[in-house]
Amino acid sequence: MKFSVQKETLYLSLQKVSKVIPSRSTLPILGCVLFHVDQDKIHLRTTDLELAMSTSCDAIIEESGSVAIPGRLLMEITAELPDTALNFSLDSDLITITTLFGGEYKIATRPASEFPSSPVLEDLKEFDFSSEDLLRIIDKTIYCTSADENKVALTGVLFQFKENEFRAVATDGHRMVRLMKNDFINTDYERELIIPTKFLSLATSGIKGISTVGLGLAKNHVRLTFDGTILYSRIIGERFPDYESVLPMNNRYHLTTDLDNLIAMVKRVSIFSSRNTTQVTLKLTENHVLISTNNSETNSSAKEEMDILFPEGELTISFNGDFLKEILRHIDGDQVTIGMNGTLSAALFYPEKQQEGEDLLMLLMPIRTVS
Amino acid sequence: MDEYHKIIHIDMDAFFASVEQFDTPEYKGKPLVVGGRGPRSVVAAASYEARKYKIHSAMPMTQARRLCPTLIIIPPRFERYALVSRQIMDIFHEYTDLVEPLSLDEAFLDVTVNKPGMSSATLIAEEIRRKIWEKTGLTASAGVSINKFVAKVASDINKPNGITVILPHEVGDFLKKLPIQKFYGIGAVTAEKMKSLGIHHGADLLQFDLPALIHHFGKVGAWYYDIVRGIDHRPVQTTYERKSFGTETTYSEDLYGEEAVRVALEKVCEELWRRLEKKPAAGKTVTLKIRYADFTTKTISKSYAAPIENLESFLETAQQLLQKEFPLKMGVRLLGLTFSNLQAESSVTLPIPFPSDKDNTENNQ
Repeated sequence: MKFSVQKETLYLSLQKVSKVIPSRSTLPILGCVLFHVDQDKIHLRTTDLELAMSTSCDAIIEESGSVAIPGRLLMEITAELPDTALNFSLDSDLITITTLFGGEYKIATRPASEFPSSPVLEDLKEFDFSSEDLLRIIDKTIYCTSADENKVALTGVLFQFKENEFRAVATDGHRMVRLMKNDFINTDYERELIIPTKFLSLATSGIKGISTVGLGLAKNHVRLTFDGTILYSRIIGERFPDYESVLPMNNRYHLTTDLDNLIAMVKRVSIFSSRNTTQVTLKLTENHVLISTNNSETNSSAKEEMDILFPEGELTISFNGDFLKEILRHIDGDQVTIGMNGTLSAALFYPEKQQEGEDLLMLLMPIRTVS
Repeated sequence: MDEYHKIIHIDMDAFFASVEQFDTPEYKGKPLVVGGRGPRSVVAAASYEARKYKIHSAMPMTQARRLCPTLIIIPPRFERYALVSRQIMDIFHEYTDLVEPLSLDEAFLDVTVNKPGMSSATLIAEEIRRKIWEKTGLTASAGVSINKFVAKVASDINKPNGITVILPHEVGDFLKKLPIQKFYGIGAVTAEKMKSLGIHHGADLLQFDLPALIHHFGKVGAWYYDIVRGIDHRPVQTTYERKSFGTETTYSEDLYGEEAVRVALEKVCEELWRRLEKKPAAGKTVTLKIRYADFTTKTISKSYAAPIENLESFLETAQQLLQKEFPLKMGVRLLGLTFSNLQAESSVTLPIPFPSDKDNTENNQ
């Protein structure tokens, strides 16, 4: 194997695929980037066995071939080299990189045959997504996923394809988000699958600034194609909880208020909350809300009040202040509506005015307060 | 004028031994200890009469008997002590709810603001001591001062049945003259080290600056720096926060075989979970302790970002930890589990009440 490639060209490709290299692995082969050199291209691939990423770049090929090169070392040296042509040549299991100014770097490689093969995509169905739409779907849902490895089904976002409707749902067991898109043109595909959080966060960093991306859904895998790069992941083969059954049908209490103002108040008050629970309490009386917190450890407290639209009733409800801020930050528009049923029941949050073709709904469970 | 806190430290005099002497009047005035009679028993508490023979708690019983052949040895009756302790705590709560019990026979009270609205903490301490005597027939010693540290040191000065009040302006002098081994929190070993540095009284300790103390004693040096200046900002804590819950079982016969150990561990899990369910706490860390037939002991633990909320996850984590010990090298003598890194459940966001998955697994594709 022998080829020559421009440093910057190679470095950009390495940066992309290196995101999939596991930070520590018991299998040294997973620390490598698979190089497959053919015609006028280098094809690079990485995997952590759950995710895989491949991309390619232009090169001048003298002799084709394949080999696995330790990724971190290759990244480090490439980063330091000036932007000139780099010559690669493989001699038995040593790859030698030479530069125009006389540098020579040797890296021990592993045989390409050791590298895990590409996933086989069965029953593949492809969609074209505007990347703006996909980014919005990910942004509105991903923060609600769980990192708890005991709740595998919650470590991804549920994508539901229904007749002329698309839904994305995520929950960590304490809060939940459901985003419905009615403007989704889809004729005959109905399916639900859980896409891992890591795939979605890698997608986010990859597809910014690109107009259209291809989303491929196979029996056990999901694939995203963008800008000459392909990102694969295994689908989470678990059952997502029945999220619809926990959405309250009616809410006894509704309040609508200015979103920015509410966020600012919650931010200020929660500074004084206990670091551990970040508990903030909302006390609602007729057309009035008192937001307060109390940290018994540091003996500090805070409260703020404002007039709101809360026609009747009285309710006191406490939330994790961090969760509350995060939910409010993901609401668009000027006004937020909060629907509640009681001190210990789920609260619903949604924009007073939904975006066109969209329905965004968030649920947050309160903190049990002991009186 | 009252920019200082008013803290009282109440310490019962030879509590267990005094209860026994009160309940059985013929023991009064006699050397008595509470403790077992077995070959490896130690003294749990000694009456003041026994202390005259240089008998003290934690001393091996055999040694105590050698020091005082007429020593009366009473097996402990903890239910009785707990009952008396509750009566005493009730008296404290007549004055304030800011009560921090340190054990059955000792507590801190913050009476800066108190229920009867009394301005003198000294009077409160005297009333409390009188009421304890009237209700239980036992004597208590009290220390009254501006913080927990000084109050605790003070209660020891006129023990038994005495009171020591250190007023705010007296704190400095009091600590200067105080022998170093009397500082609460400075044990015998540290006191020796201090003496080797020429520190015999508070005044000597005052000569050392913060970097010097940290140099000699490490992090705890900062604490010494503060207390010798009468600085202790620790509040009287009413709720004692448990750091962990644990249970362990020693098997009468060693367990052999992975299956036997797995089943046994499941029982330990369930037992611990039952106890946990009564307590409003959920932990993030699970620690498995395993002791082999040759008494080698191993502990392995695993932590999660969020608290474990149900028995299934708890069981699974415990079994994962056990799996790491397979294949077993020898018989297992003891299994223990600890659940720590606790978060009070009352302050955790409630779980979304999703319907249980078990009800509809048949719908699974």
